Amino acid sequence: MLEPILIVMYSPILQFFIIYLAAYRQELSRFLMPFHEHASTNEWRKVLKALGVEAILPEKGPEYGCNKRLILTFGITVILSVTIALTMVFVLQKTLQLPPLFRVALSILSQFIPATYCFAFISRWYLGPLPNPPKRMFLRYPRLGSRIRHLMEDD
Amino acid sequence: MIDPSHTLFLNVALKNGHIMSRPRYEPEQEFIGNLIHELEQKDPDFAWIQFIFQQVDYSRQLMMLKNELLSYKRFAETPDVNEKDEPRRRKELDSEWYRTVELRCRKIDELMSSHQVLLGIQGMWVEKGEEAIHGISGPLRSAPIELGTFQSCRDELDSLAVFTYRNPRVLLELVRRRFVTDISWYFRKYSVSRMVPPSLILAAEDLGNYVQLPVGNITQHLSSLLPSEFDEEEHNGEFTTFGVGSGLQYGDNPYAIRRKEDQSSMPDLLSLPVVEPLAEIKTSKGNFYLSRMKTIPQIHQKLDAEAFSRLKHLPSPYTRSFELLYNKGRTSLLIGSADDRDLEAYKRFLVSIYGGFEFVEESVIPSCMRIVSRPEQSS
Repeated sequence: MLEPILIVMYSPILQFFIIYLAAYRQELSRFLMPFHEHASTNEWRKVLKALGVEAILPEKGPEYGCNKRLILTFGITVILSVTIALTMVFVLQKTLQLPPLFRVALSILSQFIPATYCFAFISRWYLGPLPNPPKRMFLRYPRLGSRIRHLMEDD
Repeated sequence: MIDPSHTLFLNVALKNGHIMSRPRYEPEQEFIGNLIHELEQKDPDFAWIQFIFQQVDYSRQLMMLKNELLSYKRFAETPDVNEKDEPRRRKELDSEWYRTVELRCRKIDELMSSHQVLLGIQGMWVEKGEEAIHGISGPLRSAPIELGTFQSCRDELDSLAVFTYRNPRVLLELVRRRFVTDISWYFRKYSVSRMVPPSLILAAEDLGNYVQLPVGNITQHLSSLLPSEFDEEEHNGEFTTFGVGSGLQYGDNPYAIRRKEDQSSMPDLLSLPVVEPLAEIKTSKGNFYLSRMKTIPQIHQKLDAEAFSRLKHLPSPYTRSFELLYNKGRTSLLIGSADDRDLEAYKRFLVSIYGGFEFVEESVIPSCMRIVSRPEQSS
């Protein structure tokens, strides 16, 4: 059975959540209420149906669906994570003189690399832009506006 | 055929999210005229801009926000104490946030001392096909729509900015005339992690800066406001009187002459198939009643101060809309209300200010929406 410490050392799961908590600390609910656009042809079809408008849509429209990218990113994350984990095992075997705490910390820190890669993808395609820092007079522009937070889901 | 890659939705909101800001356009009364002029210059295939407004009372939230700002000011002015118990100047005193506290409190006071109105500005933009092919790489365009008229609306604190979207659900919101009426959440987030509210809180007297008919010299340059083919057809070829107040008749108008000359190159709107909704569209509170201005008066002189100030009576407890539709080089103005009697009052009010003009009923999905749902005949 896997020890919890081994999961933390050799997988980027905990690191991913640490990055999320740090980046979205001003809006932790973002994971449940992501702030991004849906603009697939399928979405158009639903809207036109709700409006009762009959129109022909192109078979291939602007696709914001990220299934293929998600699979690719997940794959790359796993490869990165396994490669780094194996490298760390190999390196740490060669350097037995290092203190045990340092060896564990090094393994945990190295998993931040795949976690950051995965987080960058999730943030861009699912969670949406990072919350604005407090007490700033000027906000970044152009950016995604707040209107899409209020689109009704009742249709 | 709808081409989503050419369609963008937009919402106009405060660029920096300072909720107490009251941006206005200078020169006064020229906002709509210049916006129409800009649309003519950009000449999209189709543009639909809605100004939806309603009387609100956000005094409580404004007061809480003011208290929060004043607490911050007091905190910043209270000297910090270092390890040796010596008073030390706080770094907050050097921040822009501190320097503008008084200005923001003054803006809040101004809002609280007048009737408040919530204004939502949203719309739809369909690029011309050829532009989309030559000017935009790929189906996804992230660049915002540049509408300088909106971006010129500003005050000392903030300015307006156009936010663009691809999400077709915004179309449902446009058709149902829904705008964001509860922005309390944005008050709570103001000092924490500020978000931009999609609607603006204005004093009632500010509304006339946005909801107005085109007046002044700019009207002489607005070719898209000429009487439409519809009007001519409806009058069986007789002279259509327009420009009430200007004393001009159809045949006298130089733009009418120019339009006659260009008639052959103009699209025949009536020959395009009309797509009507299959079912009656309901708003959240019920039907939304709409009228299109059959003729738009050409008023070459601006309203006097007294008439202009009367525009502060525009908002009502019902949701009202003022809409601008630009379709193939032609602009129409629509007004609407969530209540039919309120719509009549709204019409009478506008007529009392701008003079007599006619209205015709309009469907909730304007007839020119056909442009986005044209059949696949072009392919």
